[in-house]
Amino acid sequence: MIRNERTKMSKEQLTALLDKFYDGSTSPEEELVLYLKLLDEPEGSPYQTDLKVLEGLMNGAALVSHETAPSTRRVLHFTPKVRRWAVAAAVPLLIGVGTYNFLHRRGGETSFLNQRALHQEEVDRHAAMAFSLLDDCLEAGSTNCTKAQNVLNEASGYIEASYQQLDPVMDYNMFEWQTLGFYE
Amino acid sequence: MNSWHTRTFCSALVVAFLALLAPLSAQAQHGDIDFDRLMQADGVTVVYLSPSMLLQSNIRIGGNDMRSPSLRGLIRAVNSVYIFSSSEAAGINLMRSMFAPITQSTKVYEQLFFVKEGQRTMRFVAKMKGNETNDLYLLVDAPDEYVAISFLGNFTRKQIESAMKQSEHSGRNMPSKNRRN
Repeated sequence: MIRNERTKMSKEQLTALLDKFYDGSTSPEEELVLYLKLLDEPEGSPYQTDLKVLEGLMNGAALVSHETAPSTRRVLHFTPKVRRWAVAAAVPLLIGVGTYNFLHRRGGETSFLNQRALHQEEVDRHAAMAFSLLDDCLEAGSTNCTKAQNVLNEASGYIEASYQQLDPVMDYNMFEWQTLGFYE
Repeated sequence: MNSWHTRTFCSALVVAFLALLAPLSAQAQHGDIDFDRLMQADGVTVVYLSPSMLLQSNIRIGGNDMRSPSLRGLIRAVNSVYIFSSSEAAGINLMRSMFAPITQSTKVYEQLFFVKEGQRTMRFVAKMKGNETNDLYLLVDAPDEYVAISFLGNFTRKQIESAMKQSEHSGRNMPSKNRRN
């Protein structure tokens, strides 16, 4: 119904409604219709001032509505007991966590040897030792693997040679014995 | 001092005690190894090389041409290092027991190689997740010394195998027992 009112309203009706508005006798629905109609007016229209008045009225109404509405926010009340525990927890917790992180850094910026901080030169030395040991062990593993492989290859060669010597024997047909002629 | 202050002070002590214990218990374990226990044990030397300082070391020693390129690549993948060592009987026995889960378990830890030279054994173990791992362990067990080095970083199986193959052709001498000294 409001939409129809907007489209059908003429200039005379708009003026009459404005007069009624300024008289203070318009209903909320009429004020809304008037406001929507004024929004349709182009810039430079003589009704721009009236539009601002209506906007001010609308904003004020919205503000009053918000203030008078019952608050749905929950207010947390700290009882004396809760407040006591909160105060007791905050400071020592910060001190404790900070102290632990300082003493037991994992992945942090500090290197240490038995809880003693290391200088960069000491870190270099320990790192070089660790990686050298890794290098040595990897080489030892590879060297011994090569040795084992050589032994296996050698054994494989012996086995192959043995098979080759057995070939004539394996090809011999045991059902066609040839006597040595000793007892002929 | 009134009762409120007394109760607050006692509360602060309790909270501080719990605050110190909680992170300790959360980080006591590194995988299956109780690193904190090793750090607190007598006779065990613990060295930790942090990522930032290790990065500086890698920059300095990365140009070492004694190592193969593949091994240098493996070294650069290392973020941090833990070095545990002991020359005392009690410490050696403790370390053997602490690292036993790594050497005995085959479902979780994969032994990449094992070398026995005389009375000294060397194991290179990885906790593989498919073809990748974040933990490499080098365990050197000798009668008078035990060294365990944990390399933490991002490693691939191909990277490790390449480093092992390249080491074969590096042409260096056999490992010396006193190399660390």
